[in-house]
Amino acid sequence: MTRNINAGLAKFNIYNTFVNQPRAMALLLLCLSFSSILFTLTAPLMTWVLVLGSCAVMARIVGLSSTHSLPTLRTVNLLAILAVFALTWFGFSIGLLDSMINLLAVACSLKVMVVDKKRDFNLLICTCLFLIGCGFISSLSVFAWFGYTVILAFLLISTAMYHGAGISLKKNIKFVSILILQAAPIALLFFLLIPQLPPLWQMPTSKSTETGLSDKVTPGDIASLATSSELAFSATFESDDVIPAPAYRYWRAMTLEHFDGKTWSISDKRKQAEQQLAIMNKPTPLSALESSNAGTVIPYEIIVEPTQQTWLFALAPSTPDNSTNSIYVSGLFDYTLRANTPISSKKAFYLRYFPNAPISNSIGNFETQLNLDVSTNGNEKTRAWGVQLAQQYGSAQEIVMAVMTEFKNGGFRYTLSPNAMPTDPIDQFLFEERSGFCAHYAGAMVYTLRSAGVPARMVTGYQGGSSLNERVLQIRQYDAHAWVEALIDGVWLRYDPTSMVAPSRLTFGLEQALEELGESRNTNILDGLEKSAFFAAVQTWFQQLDYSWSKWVLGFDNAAQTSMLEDLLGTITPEKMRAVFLSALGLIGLILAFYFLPISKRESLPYSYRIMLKAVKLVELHTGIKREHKTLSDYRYDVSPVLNSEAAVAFDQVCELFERENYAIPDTEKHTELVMKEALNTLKKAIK
Amino acid sequence: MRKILSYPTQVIKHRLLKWLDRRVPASSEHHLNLNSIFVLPTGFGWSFILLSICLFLLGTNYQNNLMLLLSYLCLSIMLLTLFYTHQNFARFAVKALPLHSFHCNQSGELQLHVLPHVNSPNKPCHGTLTFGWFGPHRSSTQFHGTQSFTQSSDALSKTTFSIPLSGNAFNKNSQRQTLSVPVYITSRGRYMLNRLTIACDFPLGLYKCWTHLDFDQSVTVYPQPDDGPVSIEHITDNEESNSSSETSNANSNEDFYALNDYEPGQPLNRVSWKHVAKNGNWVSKSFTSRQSESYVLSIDSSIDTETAISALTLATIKLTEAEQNFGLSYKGIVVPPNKGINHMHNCLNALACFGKPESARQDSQRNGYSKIRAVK
Repeated sequence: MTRNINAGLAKFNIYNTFVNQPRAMALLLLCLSFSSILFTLTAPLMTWVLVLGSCAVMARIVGLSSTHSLPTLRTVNLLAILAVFALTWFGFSIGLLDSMINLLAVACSLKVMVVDKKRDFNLLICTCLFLIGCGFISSLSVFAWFGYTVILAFLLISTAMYHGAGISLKKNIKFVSILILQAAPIALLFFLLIPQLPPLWQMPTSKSTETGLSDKVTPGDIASLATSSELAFSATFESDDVIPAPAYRYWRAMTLEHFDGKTWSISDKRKQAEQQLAIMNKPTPLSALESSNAGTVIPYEIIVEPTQQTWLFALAPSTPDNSTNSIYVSGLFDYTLRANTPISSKKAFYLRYFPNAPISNSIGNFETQLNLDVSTNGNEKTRAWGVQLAQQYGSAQEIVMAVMTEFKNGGFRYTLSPNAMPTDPIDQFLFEERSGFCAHYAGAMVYTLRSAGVPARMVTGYQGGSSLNERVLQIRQYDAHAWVEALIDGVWLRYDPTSMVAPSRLTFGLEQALEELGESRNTNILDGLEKSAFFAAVQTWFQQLDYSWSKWVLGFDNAAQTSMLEDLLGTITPEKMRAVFLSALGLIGLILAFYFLPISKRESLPYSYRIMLKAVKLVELHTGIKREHKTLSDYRYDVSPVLNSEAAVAFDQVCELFERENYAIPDTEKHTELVMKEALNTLKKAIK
Repeated sequence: MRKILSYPTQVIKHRLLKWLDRRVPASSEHHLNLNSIFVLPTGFGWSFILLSICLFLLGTNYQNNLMLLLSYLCLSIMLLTLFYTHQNFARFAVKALPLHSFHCNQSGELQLHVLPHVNSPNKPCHGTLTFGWFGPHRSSTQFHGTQSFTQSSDALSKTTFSIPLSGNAFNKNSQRQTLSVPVYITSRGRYMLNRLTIACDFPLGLYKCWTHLDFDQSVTVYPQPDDGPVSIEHITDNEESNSSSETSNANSNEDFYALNDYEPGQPLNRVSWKHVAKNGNWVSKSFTSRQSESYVLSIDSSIDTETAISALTLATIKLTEAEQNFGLSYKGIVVPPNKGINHMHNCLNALACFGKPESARQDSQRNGYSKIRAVK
């Protein structure tokens, strides 16, 4: 019974503390913001840091009431030492960036427990703001921006509570909302006009967040990507006529030329060759293509989601338009594209597609030899089949067609979840299982062709893409694909064995293909929901929003900035830029003037007060005696000898009426005001 | 060494004060305006700016526009807060009430009335005000000696006081707020109060708005009361005798009024010997209506001046409490006998200012300008 009462009292105490002490309220808000920041940072933060953070917040909130004591400084220092050890221990495995974020979060958690001075509080606010900045490294959506802005608002309200003695929470919320709304246009102006700089130095990137394709493919890997419907990139074309038909939307990312019997990977030999060629300054085939004016050119823009990798996806062959790209993109000798720095945030790249240009054998014999290399590690049956094909058919073309036909008619099945094939995977796939995903088909075909003496390689990338609107294609992770390129008559030709097995994969996308085969990409309860029209509409709307956000906010780079200014001003000259910056400063000044200049100051005064002020002003003008801080009666006494009798009487009347109105109980208000007005008019006449 | 180092700062301070006198003239009432307000970011403000710059660098290096936006938003908030802080503080108006005298080493109180500002009578100034006296105390070695004492007074002059404002809008319902600011002066004399620094960091603590106001207030700091060998001469109105023939007219025209604790220096014939004999307590009898009797307080001129003045101060206070008729006579001070509170203040004033104008002038010449300027 007593305990119950005590518990009740404790609760009551906590409640009282929050209501009565603005500083306690400020701390509570800070704790809330900090815990929501922790909640959004679950990916980079280690579990023990999260636990520490939430415990610290709990301790702080409970400690706000006087009935519970906070951990002592000694305990916190001990915790700090332990945390430093733990951070250094785990630091090596999670990478520099994540360690830094963890360190900040730990420091913040520990400080939350001992915050008592103004300094501590301010430090916490700054650290939380910086953590919000770190949150933007991984979350880039509109919703993340919105959520973090709300947290920022909470932090500001908390600061306002802390510094504004006794101002109510409601007023502070109003103040901070107005402050943020007022700050938004200025921030936008800064955003549009402050030049977008290239990265100043290389920053550590997060290890855990590498997404999308990998530079090694073991058949089955791509199938795991197929469960993800996350956006990989979106491509924007100038008009809908130039968008390739669905079956031709092959977004090439990497060529995998080395096979160790199980896994396909980028060949080390090719990497070395590329390096040597770069040192020799040999022009890449893509730069040659750029200058050759070969046929039609289709410019397009891709906005790539952060992958923390350097490869880019492009319709082959495409050349980068480096005059507008904010990250320099280089073309390799296998016609793939690489960005100079890992893509750590949503980034726009401008490319030019040459639909009629072939992919040529750019390093001659080296490339041919590289792609004839057959791993002798197992898969004997396939090699024997290859040799047999080579004997059977004369030309490379025929061999390729024979393999394709075999896939078409050999009873192969397209499936997302094939059985595991641990030993001799290609033999097992071709002669026993006969069911697999695109990487199985591509791998088996390349291996067979190489055995038959036809240079071939596996190419990975994405295939397909759904249109968001008539100019924009969105390519998601489940569009990841692998196909084959065979070198025939010095030109690399694309063959897609998957198209033989599941033709609808190319034309209608993965989902359709799987549906026809009685499979589903993912099984969850939302399946039914996804099919409803309303849900689809909402989803499309969100996709549109996300795309616009990516294009206009995240993709706003130096090129976009320059083109915006060019649209506004024509060709940009230094003089024009100077004018733009000066006028921007002027505009900010105007905005500030709009916010802070008192426009309707007089309106808020009572009517009698205004009349009194007018009368005083008249008298001041006439007599040259300023009122300054004198009381009204003192001033009246001062000026009455200078005024003529009529004016003095009128002024006296105004003053008396004003005093009666304001300091005595007013009886007939309307009447007084009218009389005051009349007296003012008399005063005016008398003074003239 | 310390003096040599402090010399340039003294000169700068002197210049600053002269400039302030022109810019913010002395007045008992101040309505803050553009001229009288100074604004700079606080430590928190600077760290906020630093944070924005860090976010900008991070955003640039990660090519992350959201981080850039956050950084710009922080900068805009910083910019706007500058105006909000100034706007709020520019609504502050204050009027000083006349300052009551107090004894040195005790703290006096400067009472400030918060007024509605002339330019915005309807909107109040919010926030917590921080008060501090502008500049350090004068080192008053001449009177109270030791170095440690001076330092402690320095420390005291630098202490600041925070008072939350309740809002000073022109509102008939609410009471006007009165702020009391402690004044601490360690040596007697008559002083002009120096400028009072008032600061406010409302609303976000990013900027500090402050002003140095001269309220044009003078105050007399009375000497510290202390025990001492004060001699009390008894004089009668008819100037017949000044002997100690008290007993003869003890029952003449006075009525027994009360018993008080015996204070040293009181005539022995007032002691209630009955009480002394009974329980050892020295108790003196006081009587009403002693118009005809008065005393003159004096002290041996060979005793150190400050000690003498302290002793006379205590005696003055005691005699006033005992409602005695008394006068002062010490070196140059001659105050004719009288009684009552006003008389006490006259006496204390005379004691406070004794020997002061000259020494104060010397002080100010030697030390340049100091917190409190002694005036005649």
